[in-house]
Amino acid sequence: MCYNGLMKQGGRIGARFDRWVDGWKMALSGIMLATRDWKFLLTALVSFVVFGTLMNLLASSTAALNLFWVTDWMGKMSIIWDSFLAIFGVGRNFWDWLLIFVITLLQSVLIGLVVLVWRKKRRDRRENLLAGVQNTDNLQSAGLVAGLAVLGSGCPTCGTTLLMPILGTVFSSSSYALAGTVSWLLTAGAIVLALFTLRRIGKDAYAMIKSESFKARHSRKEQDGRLSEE
Amino acid sequence: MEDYQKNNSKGRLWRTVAIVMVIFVFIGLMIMNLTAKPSPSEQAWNQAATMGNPEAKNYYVMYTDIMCPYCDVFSRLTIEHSDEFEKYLADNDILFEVRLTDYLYEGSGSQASRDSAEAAYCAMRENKFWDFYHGAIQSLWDDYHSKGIGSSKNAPRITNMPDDYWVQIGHEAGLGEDFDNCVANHETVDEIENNTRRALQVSEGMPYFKFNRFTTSGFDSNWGWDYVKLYLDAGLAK
Repeated sequence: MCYNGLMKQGGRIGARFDRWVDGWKMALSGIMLATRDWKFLLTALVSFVVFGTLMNLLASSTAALNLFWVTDWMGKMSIIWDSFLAIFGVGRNFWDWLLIFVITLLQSVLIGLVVLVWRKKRRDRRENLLAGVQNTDNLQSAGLVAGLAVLGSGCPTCGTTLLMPILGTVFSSSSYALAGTVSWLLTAGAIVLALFTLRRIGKDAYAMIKSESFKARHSRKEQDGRLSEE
Repeated sequence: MEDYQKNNSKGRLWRTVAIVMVIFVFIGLMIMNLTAKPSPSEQAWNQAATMGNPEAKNYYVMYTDIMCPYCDVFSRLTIEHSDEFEKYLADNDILFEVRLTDYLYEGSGSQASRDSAEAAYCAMRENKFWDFYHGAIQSLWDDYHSKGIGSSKNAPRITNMPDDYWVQIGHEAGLGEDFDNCVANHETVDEIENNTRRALQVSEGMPYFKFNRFTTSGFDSNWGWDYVKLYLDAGLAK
């Protein structure tokens, strides 16, 4: 009895795990299929550059922005250019670079997929309303990932992180000790949220791309059939 | 009746004159107060931690903590370009002051932060603040930061710092027994605590810069000398 129960439970966990892995496989296939679409690539590339530059610009909290507003045109260009180069690790500590790079990459793929799914759903007028609601959810998630990542930037123990004023208001003197942990949690949260949102949109993209190619094949067959009848 | 009216109008006139005079005196005092600005050397927390002309027109302050890696980047760049930095201060009539704190000790319990600040103030007693400060920044770079240790918030932490790390730096700066005793007896701890308390009232994290009216906190680890110059220029521009 006990053995049977255990086996049943084990079977359920195993099946759930398989489904979970299948979901990831489907999402990854969706991302791979999406890379064949140049509009996806363009959107992802633009978001990668914009978001990556912004993340590096905020790596020193508001220092770069403060400097940006008071410096001349050449200085402004230099700040933006250096922030852009930092996406590829120029002058960055390896671990700092890796975290920012991973978040930027996930975020850009996420935005690329959101746009791709939105475009595909918009084509079908009947699905217009539903597409609108789902895309708002996806966009909210993408925005949340960006927000969490930005809040976690800066040096928490030096007190220059963007979340410091918020923590300072709530926890006063103990906020410095908390800032490091909260900053890490926010960054980890941003990555986890990005991954789960990617899984959801990746699956959507996979289903849409596959159904589109199926429809295309089906209509071609129909056309060929009609032509042969004629 | 006429006399009463005359007296009444005279009284009113005197009252008006008195009120106007009082107002003028107040305005005069306010103007005097605003224009009588203390010189940079009078504003400095410690003369020994300043660089440049004590009566300079421009006053630049950097609040820092030796164990804050981003603060060290700024200081290291000024050391690497010391000739250019000193020339910039002289050419633009700037007094530059470093206000040392143990911000990381107060915030996250970094003992090295407090020890380094105490040792720097012990060196200051023997008028060797800059020798010690520059030595400490250079040693941290050579021993840790250049190897990617303790150089940023995500970098591996410094775990193997010897107990006599700051004392050794003091000896390299030419400090002797008095310095050793000062460090061992924590003779400067009150000054450091006071510094940090004062810094917390004005700063928004470390490093915090107050270059004339330009104020900002933070410095990026991938910035070079160009950015130090942008900071210095920003102080002159405002």
